[in-house]
Amino acid sequence: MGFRIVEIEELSGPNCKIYSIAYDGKGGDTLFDEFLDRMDEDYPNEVEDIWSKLQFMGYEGGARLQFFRENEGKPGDGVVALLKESGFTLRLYAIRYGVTLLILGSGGYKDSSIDAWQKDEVLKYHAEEMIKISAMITERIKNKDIRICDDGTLEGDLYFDEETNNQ
Amino acid sequence: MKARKRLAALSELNYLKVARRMRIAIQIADAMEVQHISKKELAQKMGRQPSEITKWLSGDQNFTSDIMTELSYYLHAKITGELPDYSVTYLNLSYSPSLSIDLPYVNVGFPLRNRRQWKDLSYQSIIATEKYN
Repeated sequence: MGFRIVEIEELSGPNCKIYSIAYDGKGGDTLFDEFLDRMDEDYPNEVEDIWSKLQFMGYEGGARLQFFRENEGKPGDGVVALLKESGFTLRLYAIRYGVTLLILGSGGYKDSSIDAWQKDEVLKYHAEEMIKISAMITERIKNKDIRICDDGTLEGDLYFDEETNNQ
Repeated sequence: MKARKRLAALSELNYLKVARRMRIAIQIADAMEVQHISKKELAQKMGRQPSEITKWLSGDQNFTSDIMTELSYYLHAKITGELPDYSVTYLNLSYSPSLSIDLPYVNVGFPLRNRRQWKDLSYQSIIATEKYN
């Protein structure tokens, strides 16, 4: 199953371009949509805050590092988590390339009794998914098949055939 | 995509609340950098835990006026969460025939829902922003 990096137009703005991952056969839904739809019923207020935070990054503040929890993936792979803390924590995983580009994945609820995502099956799955995707994107950037413009826009071949990439 | 459709239609009030928290977070971070103050040092000065400062910087904190006064005091900076004053820019844009040229760098003060709106920023939008300010 392949995937494409697609822009989230409602959030992407002049100060930060915001993308997510759309797998084949999901009707255009992205990992970010999957996160929103799964969390929205139980945590509507928190989901609204995450949405507005991302909108702020896109149109005003950019994806400043201070807004994220760093080092959620491997050293230097840019995998971060956007947190929403209000007595409990929602975590949304993303890949951050400076202040101008953010690629959103999925995430979930983090129980306060858990100190690391590795101890929660759902968070582990989504964090590892972004770590894997980050490595694939990095490879494309190295090979100059993908280019990051100054304003954060991604150009080039944004479709990934996972079977091909795993060989 | 059900939730995304709901969220795309959210009221601007929700955005304004979150954006203010995040502007304050940016102002704190910038002031800390200018003053060469670490999270740990700021926490010590304010009698708080460094983890609280981390939360403030993340944009999740609903700041009380007392905390903002303390921050302004210890960081020697105006921590207000207000938008920068772009009135001169707006005036220029309002009467400029080349309206679109500078738009990507103008903070209009409210969220635009999509790119079309950004590109179609009109005189009406600028008036609306002036009212907001």
